[in-house]
Amino acid sequence: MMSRVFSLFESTGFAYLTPGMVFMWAIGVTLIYLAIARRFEPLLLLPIGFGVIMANLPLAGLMHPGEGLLWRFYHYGIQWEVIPPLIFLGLGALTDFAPLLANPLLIFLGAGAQVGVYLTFFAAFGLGFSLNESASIAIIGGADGPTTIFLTTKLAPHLLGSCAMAAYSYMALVPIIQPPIMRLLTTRKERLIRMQKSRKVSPLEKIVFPIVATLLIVLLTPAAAPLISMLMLGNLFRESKVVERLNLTSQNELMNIVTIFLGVSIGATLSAENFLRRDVIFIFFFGLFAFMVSTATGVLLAKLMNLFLTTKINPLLGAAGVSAVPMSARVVSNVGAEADKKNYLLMYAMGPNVAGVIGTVIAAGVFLAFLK
Amino acid sequence: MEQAVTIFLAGIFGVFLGIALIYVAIRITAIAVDRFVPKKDPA
Repeated sequence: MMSRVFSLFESTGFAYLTPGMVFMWAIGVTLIYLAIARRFEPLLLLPIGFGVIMANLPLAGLMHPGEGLLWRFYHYGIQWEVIPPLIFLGLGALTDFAPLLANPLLIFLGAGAQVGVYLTFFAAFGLGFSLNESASIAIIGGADGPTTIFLTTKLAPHLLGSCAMAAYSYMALVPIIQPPIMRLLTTRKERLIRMQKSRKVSPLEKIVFPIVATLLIVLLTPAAAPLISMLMLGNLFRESKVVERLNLTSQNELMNIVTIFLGVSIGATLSAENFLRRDVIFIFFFGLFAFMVSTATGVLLAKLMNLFLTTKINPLLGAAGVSAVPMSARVVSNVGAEADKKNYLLMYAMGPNVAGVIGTVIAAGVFLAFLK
Repeated sequence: MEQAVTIFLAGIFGVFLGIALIYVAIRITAIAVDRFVPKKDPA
């Protein structure tokens, strides 16, 4: 009788439960809590959190190679590089490049923020991570989730879950991380600088931009082609005004569908044996470091540009060079409004913000060119 | 270490070069549109 009860018990998941799995459930529940109660990137943290729980269920085999449901999502969606470019298609359809085209000089702030990515790469390498791992960790500083996933899948797939979770967590914390750095690096006088009124951008310029930008970026960094070409295709849908159905599908239904698969797949990579390692603490530390340094280098580049410009730019805009769209642009606007309530920086900050997306993709392309 | 330094320098150079190319393209497009595309009569 007892042996039958025992064999029944052995056929359940309870017999195979480990403390590591229970700990990962706690991580999953925490992410779900942050998504629901704190509204921290809920569209991603909620499916990621649930994916973590699903991937750490004993005997369920949801991540079993070749068979598991989550493994299929992960393999065909992420390893086959389908989901991140589709997210970029939706992002392109949602992005208005007009603020950038109206003030093209601000595009350099998107490059300035990438200096932080490369400084972090160097720091992580110095602390013992391999070149591929260092690149995957450093790209977190670009504050671009799909690019982080795209690069990490190719260079250090064992770090995918940790890097993606760090990237999305810090993106949600942009309003907490960025303002102190921005205030520290700027004077009140600098924060009061008002931007010159933007010129009107013609519809033709908005149509030409995605085509020319694709050609130039892919010629320079061919490895960035999947991301940048889909970003610009989505933008062309938007600006052409003749494929409204494709435009709306890209930015709504398609984006929502792939976000579900992306979130669950990322969560599923966070098994106890992948996550409960000392390296992960360093990944989160370097991710934060990358974010902070990228913010600082963006602001410092804006100050450097002011040394040569006759019409000064507000250096706070440099912080929007990290590509957390539109969160960091909003943060710039709020910090600017603290100094002068009537200084509306949001539209100007959107320029470097979308330039940051382009800059991060180029940075990822350079890493891939050297390390893949 | 040598490869890390190379990637570091090439990365910063590559990002700024890419952004500079896009900047030039935006400026040229804006000038071309302004010069060659007929403006609509506001009336």
